[in-house]
Amino acid sequence: MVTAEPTLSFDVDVTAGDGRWARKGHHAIWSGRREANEPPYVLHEWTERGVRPFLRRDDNAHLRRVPAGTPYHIARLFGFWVINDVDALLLSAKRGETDYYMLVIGGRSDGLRHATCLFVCPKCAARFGEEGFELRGKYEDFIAFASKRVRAFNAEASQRTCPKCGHVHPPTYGFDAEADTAEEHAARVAD
Amino acid sequence: MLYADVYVDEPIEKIVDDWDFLHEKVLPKFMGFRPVGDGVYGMRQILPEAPQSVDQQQRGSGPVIAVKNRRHYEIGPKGVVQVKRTPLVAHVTLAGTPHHTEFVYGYWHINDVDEISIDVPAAADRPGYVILMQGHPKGNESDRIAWYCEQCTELVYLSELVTGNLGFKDFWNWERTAVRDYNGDPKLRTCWNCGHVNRLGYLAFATQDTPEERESRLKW
Repeated sequence: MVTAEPTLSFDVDVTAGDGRWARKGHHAIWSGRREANEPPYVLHEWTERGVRPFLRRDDNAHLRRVPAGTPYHIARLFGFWVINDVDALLLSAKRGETDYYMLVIGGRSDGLRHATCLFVCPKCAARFGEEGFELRGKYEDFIAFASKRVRAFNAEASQRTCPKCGHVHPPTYGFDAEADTAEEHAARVAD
Repeated sequence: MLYADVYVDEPIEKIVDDWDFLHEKVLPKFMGFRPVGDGVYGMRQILPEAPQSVDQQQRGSGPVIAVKNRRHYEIGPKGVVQVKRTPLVAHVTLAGTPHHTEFVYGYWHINDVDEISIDVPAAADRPGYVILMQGHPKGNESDRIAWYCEQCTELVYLSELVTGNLGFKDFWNWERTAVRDYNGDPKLRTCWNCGHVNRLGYLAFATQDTPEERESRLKW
């Protein structure tokens, strides 16, 4: 017997900016906000030639697609780097003095099955510490996995040592700012 | 600026094409639907008022535009429901759900992938936009154009394009053929269940309307 109606559609209120993830259907969607007294989130993408920051040029809305397979990091939102098996989209829009953000990961019906957490050396841009995660449920499961890796990364200088140039990556931070240790908070502010 | 020492030292515009889909030089490319990577994207300029005429409907920077006071509908187990849209609230229409936006396209669209739409309000020097993002279909996944009876909601006509295998290059030709086939035969518009003869459909491209389709566009 069918007891539940099918889900037809749902809304994600970007202006709520509650920092939560919604995962239904083919996408995982996060939304957040930055007030006038907070520095904005800044998307970074890794390339063979170095790290490319995507800075907002003006107060107009921006929409950037991060292609599947491209390592990316959003400064002040999460300190680690991510590779998704599907495209990600970052929308930023200013309303009043507040910056609103929406991160959408997904698209293909067979996507959102695998994500990788990694780190990038701030001196030579080498990628290191890559570890994959099979997405079987909520996207927060990957976020929790990555945040746990951040704690291990911060705890051991050997894990933070670049295998290419020997530079020791400073401690970094996870996704949930409210769960930051003092060290993680300092890293988030400095990024 | 943790990574400042390893930043790629060139202007983004020189090394990454179309990095901002909402840039004024990029946005016109998305006035129809454009497949990019894992998604298919469409951008619609939002007019400040509902169209009073088709001429007004056709104004704007692209061939497909929206109007501020348009209404959105979906069909579910309880029939036709109006979906409220609010600026900066993303609406996710899950795969398989028939959806229609009045004045914009005169049929029900059904796809096999999820579709996200979000209205971005006007900025000081730019109009507002509605952004449509749907996943790129694969394999046998399809797009469908359908009409449901205005009186009893029974399916009266449906056309399907296997966009997963065929891609989107034929999408607009297929759309035009489906709409013109439907409009051209009153039998196709007559509900098999209740006998009601349904209104004409119309295309997403208002510039291609016949006079009869223009009239219908202003009604639903």
